[in-house]
Amino acid sequence: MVILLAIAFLSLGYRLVDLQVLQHEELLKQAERNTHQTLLLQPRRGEIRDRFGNVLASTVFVKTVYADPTLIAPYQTEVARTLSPWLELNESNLVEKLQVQTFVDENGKSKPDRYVVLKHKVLLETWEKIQTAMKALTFGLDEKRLGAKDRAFLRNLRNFAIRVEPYDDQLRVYPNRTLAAHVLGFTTGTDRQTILGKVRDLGGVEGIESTMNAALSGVPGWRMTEVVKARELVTFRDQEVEPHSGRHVILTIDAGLQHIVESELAEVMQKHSPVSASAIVVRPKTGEILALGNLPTFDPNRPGDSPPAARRNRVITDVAEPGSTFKIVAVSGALNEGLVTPETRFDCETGRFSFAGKILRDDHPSGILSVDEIIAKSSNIGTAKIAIQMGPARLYEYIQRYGFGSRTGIPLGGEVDGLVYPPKKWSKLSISRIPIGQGIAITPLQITMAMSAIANGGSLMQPLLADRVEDDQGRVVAQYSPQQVRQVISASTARQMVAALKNVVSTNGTARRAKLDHYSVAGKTGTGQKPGNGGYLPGKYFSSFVGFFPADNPELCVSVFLDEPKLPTYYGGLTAAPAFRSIAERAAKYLAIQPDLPPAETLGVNKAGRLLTASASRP
Amino acid sequence: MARNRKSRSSIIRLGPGLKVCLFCVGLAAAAIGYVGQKSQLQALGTQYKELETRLGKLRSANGSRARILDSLQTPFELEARIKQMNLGLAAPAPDQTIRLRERVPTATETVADRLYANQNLQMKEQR
Repeated sequence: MVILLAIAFLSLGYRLVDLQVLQHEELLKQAERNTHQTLLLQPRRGEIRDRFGNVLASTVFVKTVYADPTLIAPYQTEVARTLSPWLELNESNLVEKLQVQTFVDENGKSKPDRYVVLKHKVLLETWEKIQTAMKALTFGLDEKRLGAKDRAFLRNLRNFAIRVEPYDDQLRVYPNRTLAAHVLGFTTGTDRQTILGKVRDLGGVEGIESTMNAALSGVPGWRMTEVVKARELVTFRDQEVEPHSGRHVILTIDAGLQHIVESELAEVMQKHSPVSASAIVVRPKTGEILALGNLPTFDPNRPGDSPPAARRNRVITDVAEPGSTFKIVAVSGALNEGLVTPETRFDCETGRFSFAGKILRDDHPSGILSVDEIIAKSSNIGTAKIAIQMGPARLYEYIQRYGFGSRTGIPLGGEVDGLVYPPKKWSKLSISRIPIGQGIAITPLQITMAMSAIANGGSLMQPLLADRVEDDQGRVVAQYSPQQVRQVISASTARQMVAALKNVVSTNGTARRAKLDHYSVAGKTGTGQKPGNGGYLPGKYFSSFVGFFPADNPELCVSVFLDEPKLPTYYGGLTAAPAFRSIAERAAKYLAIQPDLPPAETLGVNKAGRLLTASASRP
Repeated sequence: MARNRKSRSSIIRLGPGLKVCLFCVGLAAAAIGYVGQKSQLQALGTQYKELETRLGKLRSANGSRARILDSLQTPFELEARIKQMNLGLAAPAPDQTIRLRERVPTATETVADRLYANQNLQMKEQR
């Protein structure tokens, strides 16, 4: 008996030594693994706001809901029925997910899968409702009659079968839905491994979300603590470092103006059925972009629902032959060089001009025209003759000085340079075709900034999209100020150009439909042909109007571009110019821009509440 | 002798007995204090966690209200509300806007000059 007891004690003693001494390190690690937990605390991604502080993009913390199917069987159907409305998932799919599946671990043992993700990005309030719904589950059983084991099973099912990840996930919310979608871009969740564990980051994919990602992303914090049965032991908390939220980016965009632009683009799309329509509103004096819209567009809340073409920011990623809007380059260059004056006259050959073995035509044949009239009537022959007088080197210099062939530097990804070849690659014909916007490809933003330079006394500004970066307390961390790129033409040349461009929007010009009631407008129409199959594609045009107002003290430069408007109406003066007028009129009212024309005689008020004036009532 | 030894020994034992008692009482008090402290720590931990959870819920509620406010302030929503409420609101036409120009004071002008500028102007007009 004594011997047996001695053996028993010795065995226990050995086991004690084995556990406490020999296996100490390994078991300690295992115990720590079971209880110690390091939680990564997600920083809130900064907001994107418009110039007045209206939220364009914000972040909410969400959870990843997962299930432990071993705690649910055989009540999968009832649980799925309860969860289905809250998770917005199909009931039968949920039942399938809740079935116990097995997997083979690294030791080759078959184990039941106790972690099945049901849904990512579940709002906290939804999770609370799920918890309440789960706790209310009865399965039609009278628990008082059940044994202790069954009651424990039901308790575990209600409390532990459906759970959420301990770390927070983030959901980016764009309350304005499609508004300024191409400016904002969108985000995607990516898993990142850190020394403290896996963290799910929200990373910007396109637009400001991508270019300002470093400012918008914060710095994660962490908490080292002990957890028993999914319940934290607060008293055993060790390290706790608070996360630092991301900074807020305040854009130069005005949400109200953006809405005006997008609603007018929608009208244009309905009226002319182009492949796409784009518009930009710029403050010429500073280069601030107040609105930038493209249609078709997408909802950044659900970017995957739209085709890639709809997500393309066409004003910076797409190039096209600009057509007549490009005439401002050659004419302003020649004026700036003193080669011509606004009164210099050119023979426009009654609409047919033979150069380098090819015939150049004018849509509206004219005889002798002054430089001002060449711009007003958009004469191809007149512009070509001005450019021939300039010579390829000087024309190319002005093309470059206006910023064509290089990126504008707008803080958005995907901007392209455009296609501008140096004179050594030009053919004999090029000097007559490039000044009229053929044989060159530019982005809509480049031509808008070039026109803004003329409006701004010849000073080309860098497009400004981000105004400042603020921290959580509203302190300005970084302020972006307007940047001049270069003085392209002199202020006096710019004034001459403004005077010439005002004629475009006169009764004799090509953009009569861009005229405003209370403001003088200067601008240029463009109808570029689309190249393809070794020539120009019949019936496919790129129509545009780029203008600014009030002409002599410009507040806004507005540009409208239509890619392949439906025939027969395809001229820029008939498609883009009226859209310019609609945008400019609404923008002027919205911003209360001071009129520079005397008030017209008021005839009354129409049903829409619009004043009827002598000039407004004309057809 | 034996009686004396007995009586002496009983006197001697009282001291250690008291000491032992005091030690035990002290030990028990320390133990109770320790347990009390631990349980208070536990209670505070639970309370801390509850407050933390409440703060999280309040932040979440605040966030969801901010989201609602953001969506109510969107141009789409405002335009829809104006149409729905049939308020007939529209931006004024440029010639419906009356602009008041502020008089630019000259460098030599005094405060009194500025204050009585309008009055002087009216008097001049009356004359």
